[in-house]
Amino acid sequence: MKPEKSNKTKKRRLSWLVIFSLTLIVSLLAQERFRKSPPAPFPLPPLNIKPIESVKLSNGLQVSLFSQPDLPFTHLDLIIMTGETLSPDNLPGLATMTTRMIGLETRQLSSEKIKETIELLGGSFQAQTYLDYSSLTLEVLADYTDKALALFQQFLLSPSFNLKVFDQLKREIYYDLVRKSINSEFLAKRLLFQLLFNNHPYRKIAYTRDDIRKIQLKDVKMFFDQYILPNNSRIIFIGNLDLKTAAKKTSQALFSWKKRPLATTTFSPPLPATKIKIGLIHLPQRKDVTIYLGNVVFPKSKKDNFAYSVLSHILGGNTYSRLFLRLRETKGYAYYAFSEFELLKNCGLFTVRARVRPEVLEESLQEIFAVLREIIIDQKVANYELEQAKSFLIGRMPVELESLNNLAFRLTSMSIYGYGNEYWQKYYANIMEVTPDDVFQVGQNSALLTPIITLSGDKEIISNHLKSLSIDLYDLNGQYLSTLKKGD
Amino acid sequence: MSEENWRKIIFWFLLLFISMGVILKIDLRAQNHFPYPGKVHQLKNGLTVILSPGAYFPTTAIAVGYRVGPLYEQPQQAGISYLLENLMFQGSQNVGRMQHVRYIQRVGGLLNVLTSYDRMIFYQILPSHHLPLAFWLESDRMTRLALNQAAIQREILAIIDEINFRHSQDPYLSYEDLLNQFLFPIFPYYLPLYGTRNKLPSLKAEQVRKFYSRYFCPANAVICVTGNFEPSATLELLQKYFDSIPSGSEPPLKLPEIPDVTLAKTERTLGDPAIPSPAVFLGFPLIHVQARELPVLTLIEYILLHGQSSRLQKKLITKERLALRLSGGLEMRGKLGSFKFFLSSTNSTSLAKAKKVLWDEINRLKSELVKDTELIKAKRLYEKDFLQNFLTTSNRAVTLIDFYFSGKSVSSPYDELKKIQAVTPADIAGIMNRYFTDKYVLINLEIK
Repeated sequence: MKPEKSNKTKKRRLSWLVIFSLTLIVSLLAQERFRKSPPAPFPLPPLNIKPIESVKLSNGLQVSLFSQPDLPFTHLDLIIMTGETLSPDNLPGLATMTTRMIGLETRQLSSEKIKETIELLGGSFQAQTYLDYSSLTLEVLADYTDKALALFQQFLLSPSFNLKVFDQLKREIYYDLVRKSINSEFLAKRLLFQLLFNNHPYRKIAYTRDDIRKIQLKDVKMFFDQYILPNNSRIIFIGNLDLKTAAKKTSQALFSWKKRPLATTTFSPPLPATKIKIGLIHLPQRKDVTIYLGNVVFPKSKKDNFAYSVLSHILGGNTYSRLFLRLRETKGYAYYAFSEFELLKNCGLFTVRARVRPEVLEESLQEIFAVLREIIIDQKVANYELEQAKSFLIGRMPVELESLNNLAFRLTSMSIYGYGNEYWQKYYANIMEVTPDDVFQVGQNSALLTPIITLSGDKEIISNHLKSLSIDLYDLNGQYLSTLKKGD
Repeated sequence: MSEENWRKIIFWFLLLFISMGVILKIDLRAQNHFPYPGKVHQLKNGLTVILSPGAYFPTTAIAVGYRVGPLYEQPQQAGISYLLENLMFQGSQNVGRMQHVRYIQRVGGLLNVLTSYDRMIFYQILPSHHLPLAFWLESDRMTRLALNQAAIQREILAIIDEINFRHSQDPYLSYEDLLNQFLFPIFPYYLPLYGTRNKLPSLKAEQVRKFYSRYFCPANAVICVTGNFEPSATLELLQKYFDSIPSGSEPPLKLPEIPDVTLAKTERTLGDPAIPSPAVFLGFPLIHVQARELPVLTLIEYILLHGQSSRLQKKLITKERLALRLSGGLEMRGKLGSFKFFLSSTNSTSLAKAKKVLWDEINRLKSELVKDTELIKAKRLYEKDFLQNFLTTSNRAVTLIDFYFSGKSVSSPYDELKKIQAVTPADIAGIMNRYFTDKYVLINLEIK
């Protein structure tokens, strides 16, 4: 009996061995299989971004806080709700000059002392003007938030308006424009703003060296007095503090910044271009041509904004988007080809930019129009393309917010354009809800097929390859010179 | 077969099964406080893992560092490290050419690589739900890179184009190479980071494959995960993707020893019609520099060159405007280092004045103690840069790998900041007198 039992045991053990071996083999093969294709993602985690809290001080200054516990820095953005659009018509660039003067020198602190003080706080400072607003950004080690606010107090309440400092800044901006006069992207973009916003205040962002030369110190002082006011400003904190503390600190530092009546200026939205117009800036010896193509668009709702973002991404948001694949990978015309959608206070701005070989300039433009027609006239976007664009826009948002500068820029846009806290909460859902019909519809409602086109490149090479286009030639300051036609 | 033997067989089978299929669960508690320190683990194949959970947003960064670079190259291999850096994006067993980049971009991620003389760190930041994608991509190029002759030749030509482009954009570049040959006279310390145009074409596919299997393998790598993730599950996932990759074909070479060399003072004046303005390169060799001296040298760099109110920026650029360009600082290549300055001016008169200011400031740091306020300013600027390195998940992942390679503590990163904070004015003067001696290398460049 005993040997029989032993045989049974042996058989059972053998079968266990076989099971183990098979499991082992299957497990090894499975390891090979998972390497063959990309893994599925985990479930999408919620964005869970804290709401921005705000309070208004008695002088009209709005204090907003985006709290980040443990953040070792305090990032302060003083937003002035006056952009380049409010520069006087005869003095484009004045808003920029005024903002850049702030923080250069005060009645108590020399330029050198200010730089040293900022570095003693482990900090950095930047002053910039955009179309709709201006910003003063001061980022310091968290321990020195009070000292940063004390600096803001000096900048805003005791500017020196020293003529020497003003002349130095004027030279700096002037020579910066001189340096940029060989930058083909800058020139083409500036000409696009000039031609697209021809009769609109947005045109002033295209200021030139001649415009800068005209600005006087008295103009800057007047602009400062008129617009740099607490009731025209907001201060946004990003840091390890609460709203009560932020408001208290701001109030202590800026209580004597008095509000004054502010002239309200409104202007109508710009008109879209309804006829294709091409402008060129001559850059001698340039071996390529930079193309900027754009028009204003008018999203009717927040839903439209998201549809435009998706449209822009499918069209030219990345190296796998249609423009890049067609102009660079398939046709070999371009070094790059991208598109962008930007929301402004009065409209949206849709642009395409590309750098192409001059001998295929006309073919490249035709191809850009072909891609535009396909997406807004011929056929609704395919589902896989739509999902790809959504995946990118959803994924890029948290990645982008990691940088304090990007986060601050996003918070500023939310504040300026009145997005509200629901922007964060509904961001994923809003992107998810965009359908092929939405994308098709915003495309059809836009005037993207009658844009302004601006070019920068060598006019001799370009005119040698012109086949059918007429191109207006402009100088580096945006002055019209002549029209190039086939055979000229 | 006896009962005892059966038991042994089953025991060993079970053990094998457990070790291959089941993963050790290590309890890792997230330390959710800035600067989010890292915790080090080791996989069976020798791959070092650093996990640093914690993030403000749902993002995760994955960095993979390899101890490789020109310092590990043999004479017939010059440029092979940078070639492999390029090839790491040209496809692997299951990922097509440039698809690594596109996979990451498609989900909204960003990626890049940092290369230095003895390390190469590839990194990507992604929305955190796509973490497995990064493991899949990184493990595939660690397992088998597409190293065919055509791909190698294509990349060699691309690198030669890139070197030509760099030289066309910066006419001073070849003189910096010359400066390095004087400052780092021992092979391979003087090799340029990107290889040389004449050596690259002679690299053979077989050499590239051998170099790849020796240096781009688990035993020579560190992977760091930072951001929004659950540590124990992530460790399991890491084991799934990386544990079965063979450890490495042969151990990496050790960095060559630095002999006792004494460099003589070297001065050269050269003419070049292609440079846009006259310039000067000045370098001080740092031979056998000690780890404890590095914080002092770092602060010297900040006092002289960093920030708008640093001594040289203020005097040469802002106030007297004697220099058009000013750059330089501490550069370590393994244990051999140098402290360099580069100046260019509109004309030779301004350059002569600028050189005098430079020497005056070097001598002033040797003879006068730095004032407390100036030292505090330098330390705060360093603190800002140090903290910035931990602010985003991708910066943190790269920094923790860099710390690990440099023998710094990843579990207590603030230790490095403490070393900087402990530097005194006397330390500065001491190091200045030790290293900023008359054994310098000076290259004067004139327009001729």
